[in-house]
Amino acid sequence: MDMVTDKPQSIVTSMVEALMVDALGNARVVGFFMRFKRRCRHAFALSLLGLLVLPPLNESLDANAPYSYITTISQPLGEQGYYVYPVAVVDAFMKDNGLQTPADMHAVSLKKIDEIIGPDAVLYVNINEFGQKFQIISSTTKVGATANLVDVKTEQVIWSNDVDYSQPSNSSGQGGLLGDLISAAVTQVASSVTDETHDASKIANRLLIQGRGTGLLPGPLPPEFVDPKAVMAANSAELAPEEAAPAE
Amino acid sequence: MNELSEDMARTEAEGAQVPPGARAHLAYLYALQGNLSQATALFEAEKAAFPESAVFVDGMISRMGGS
Repeated sequence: MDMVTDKPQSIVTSMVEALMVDALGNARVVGFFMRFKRRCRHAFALSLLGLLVLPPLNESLDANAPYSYITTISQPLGEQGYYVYPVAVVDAFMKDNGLQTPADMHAVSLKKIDEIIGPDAVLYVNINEFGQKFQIISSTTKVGATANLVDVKTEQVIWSNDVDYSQPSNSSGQGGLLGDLISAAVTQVASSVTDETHDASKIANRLLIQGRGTGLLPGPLPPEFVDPKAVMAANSAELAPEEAAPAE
Repeated sequence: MNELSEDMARTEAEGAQVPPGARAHLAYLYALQGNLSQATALFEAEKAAFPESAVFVDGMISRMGGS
């Protein structure tokens, strides 16, 4: 459809535009640009197409964090209109070539990446926080990450964002203290069996990539995969903890 | 793996686009099982659907032939 008629603009123009948005640095202005760009999606689409997501560096205490996290990042990126290299294949491929850890993979030069995989940009992710914190009557699932998107040709950071998402457990408050204690204990046991961090990281990644105002600009692929409901759910989930706070 | 193949066949039948990387992922799984012809076919399909994956996919195919 419109993919045929729309020509992606040159890298130079889109770089200038991206820098302009960065230089203004004002959330409201950026938000305006975002809405404006969404409206004329194809005319203004960044001409970056292939994104390579490297397995994230893990600074959290959860050893499973990188792999749980990376399985949830392709979808929002794909929905945003980018080509994402299959993360599992890239990971296995790099391991076969002697790069055992995410730190090794992050240290590979962009020139080498360009030669062998050929993406337009590489997304470097740091996981700052990942896991569940148990308090007396509730538990919180936290996912925090920082992402930097680096242009392979110019070696400049063209987009960066961070997310700090915490998902409170459902505490009804109706059963009194004892009831809360019991339900919290049940939830904690249940959630240590069925790990909630995976779902939390899905939402965190939607916020990171598609969050209002700070998310990644829409890419050049046609928006066929976008699930507006999921994006809206993620955006309202971001607000929920703040709204809930005064009630405590 | 069967599930993934079925899922992709269904998506194609519905006329929707298979998400980027899915074919390459399946191709890699076939390659691990030693089914190189199927793997090559899927890698080529990935390249046809998403030309930007060409460098990566060609690399994978040539390495598959080598090993």
